[in-house]
Amino acid sequence: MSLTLLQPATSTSPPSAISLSRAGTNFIKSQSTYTLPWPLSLLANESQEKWQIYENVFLACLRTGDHQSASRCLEKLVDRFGKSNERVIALRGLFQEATAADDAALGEVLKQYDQFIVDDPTVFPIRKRRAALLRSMGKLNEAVVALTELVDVSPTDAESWAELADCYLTKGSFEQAVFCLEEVLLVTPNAWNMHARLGEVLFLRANDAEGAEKAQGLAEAMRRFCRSVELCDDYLRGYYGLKLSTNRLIPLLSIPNSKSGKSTDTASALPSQATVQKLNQLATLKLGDILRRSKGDQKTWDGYSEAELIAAKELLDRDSDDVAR
Amino acid sequence: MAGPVEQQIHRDPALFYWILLPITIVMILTGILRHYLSTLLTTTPKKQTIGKLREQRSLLRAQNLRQNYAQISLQSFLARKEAFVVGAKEGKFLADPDARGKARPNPMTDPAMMEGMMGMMKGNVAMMVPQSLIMGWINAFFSGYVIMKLPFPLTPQFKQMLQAGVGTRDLDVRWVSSLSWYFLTLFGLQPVYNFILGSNNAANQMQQQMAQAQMGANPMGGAEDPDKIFAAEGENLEVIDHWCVLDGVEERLLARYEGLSKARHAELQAEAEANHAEDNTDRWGADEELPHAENYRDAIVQEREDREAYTARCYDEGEGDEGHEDRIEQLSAKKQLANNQMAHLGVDYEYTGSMSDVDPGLQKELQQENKDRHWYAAPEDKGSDMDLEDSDGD
Repeated sequence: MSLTLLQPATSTSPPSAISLSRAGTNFIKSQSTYTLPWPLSLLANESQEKWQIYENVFLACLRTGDHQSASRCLEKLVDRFGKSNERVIALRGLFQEATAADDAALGEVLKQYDQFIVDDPTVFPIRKRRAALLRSMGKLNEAVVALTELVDVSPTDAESWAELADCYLTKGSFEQAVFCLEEVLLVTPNAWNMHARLGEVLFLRANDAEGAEKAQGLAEAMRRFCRSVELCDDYLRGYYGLKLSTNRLIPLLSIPNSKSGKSTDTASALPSQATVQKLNQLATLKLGDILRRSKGDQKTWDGYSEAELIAAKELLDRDSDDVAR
Repeated sequence: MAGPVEQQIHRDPALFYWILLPITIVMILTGILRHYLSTLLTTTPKKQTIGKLREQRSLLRAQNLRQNYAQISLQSFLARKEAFVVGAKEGKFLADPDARGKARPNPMTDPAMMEGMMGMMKGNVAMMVPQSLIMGWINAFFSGYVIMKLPFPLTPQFKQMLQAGVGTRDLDVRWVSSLSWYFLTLFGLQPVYNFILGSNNAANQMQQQMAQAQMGANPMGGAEDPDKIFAAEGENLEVIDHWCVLDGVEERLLARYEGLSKARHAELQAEAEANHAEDNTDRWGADEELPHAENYRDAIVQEREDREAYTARCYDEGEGDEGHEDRIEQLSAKKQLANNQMAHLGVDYEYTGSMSDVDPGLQKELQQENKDRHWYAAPEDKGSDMDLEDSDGD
């Protein structure tokens, strides 16, 4: 049980967040309030996991709307680490955001954040919260401004770059999103999900383009997906993207293109049709494999998200329909 | 020395209760006190200003770019490199752009630096004061007692260590004086502190001193001119020969999935071969031996021809022989050896006898061997009771 308590609550699915918040409230009740008298209490060690659990339970409770338990967790954290701890400040801000009744209350929280940042511009948790709050309030442009300031000061922060990329993507600015994702990759070179994400953005960008540029963009996206699945054997999103991009690329390559011969740069040279065909087959094979195994509820194959599995099935079905026709 | 006779000293049991135990307990308690004292005295490291942070992280970003440039395409890399180099030249990333090119201020005048030094001093005080106090206390009250006997024998070199404060020459090394017990506990209580305080405690001053000695040089001379660091990083970026991890990724991916089945196949084959080769351990490298022998023979033939030509020329020009004749004779013997080795390795070659062989039995044997060889090479003729193993052996 303590293992699930230790997993960060943000990455869990809704049902597991609910179970986590339930387990968490029990956990907090189980924590004894009794402490040894003063000189002996100094000798008592606290486990490092304890506060991680408190934080996770706090986040899970906020997600499930259990504000009472959340506030109790927060109190404990404040008691332990003090009010001025950066992390605690950010968590309290999160609590205030979650319990804010309307936009006016949210505006209050935002003002509070602004004040904090003016007082001490190095409090990164608060700066991140501010950007996230701006975004969730629908002020996308302001969020982008906040995030660009953030990455200017801290250009090695992959989290901020990724968030900024997401904002740009929402706005439809593909070039900027690509740039941000490349920055993420420079910090975390082997993050296969980021390679796939970059592939997705490149794919979207290529769909807007025309002619030779489109094929070029699709090929680049396809290579990103290739890299992603090269790093992670069973990455569903990677194979999905690979399948989708090769599907679109094949008809483009079959048109004899006089221009494609001119580029000698290996990075931008278009792949041969046979290669793309083979990659498409590989992706089909792997997607089928993943679907089959996850449907069979094999022990280590149950980590895939339900939605992604359905989407993959859809894609495969559509493909086989085309073949049947 | 007393020799085999063991020294017997009758100690007052009160020594145990009033000296050994108190020293031990006091030492443990001092360690705990020291731990909490240093926890209280350590000042939280002062927060860096936003400009300084930006400077550091910009540099880190450039280093990341240098290390992970393969993740992005050439155009993206060039754009980033350009941006960094230009920015570094203009001093865009510096915390204090106005201070460029000025001499570095003396670290002693820097208030932030002073604070760090104060922190270190405090730590040292927390170490030194209890230590010297206890040392004085032990010396004043307990010096000169022999308080315990180690359960194992030791060499006399330990006398200095174990019998400090007891000026008896002939005392067995196993006896430990009170002052020595103090030192032993001083150095040896770390596991006890680990047990009581957790593993990252500050109770043992020895460890702290070591940690300080390690980073000793850093706080004083560490700060370099950031402008120069940026310029150097820019140069590092300039010399990078870019390649991209996406080059040929499709082939790699396909090769891996093809390779998987191939690798499995090769594994099975290797297993089968290993089983097959078990009964004949001499077979290793048999493929290479024959070409090797051929090369060797060719080299000998070549050398011999060269030397013969040279001798002929020398003879024509009337110069003296320089031992080439002897060498040529050696070479012909060697050639025969090589030839026979080849014949031994491969059936396509014949054994040869040399002209200098006077033994007729040997000549006959070799001819017989060659004959056997031909039968073996043409299996339909093979009807005799020939034994390959015998003919093959030397």
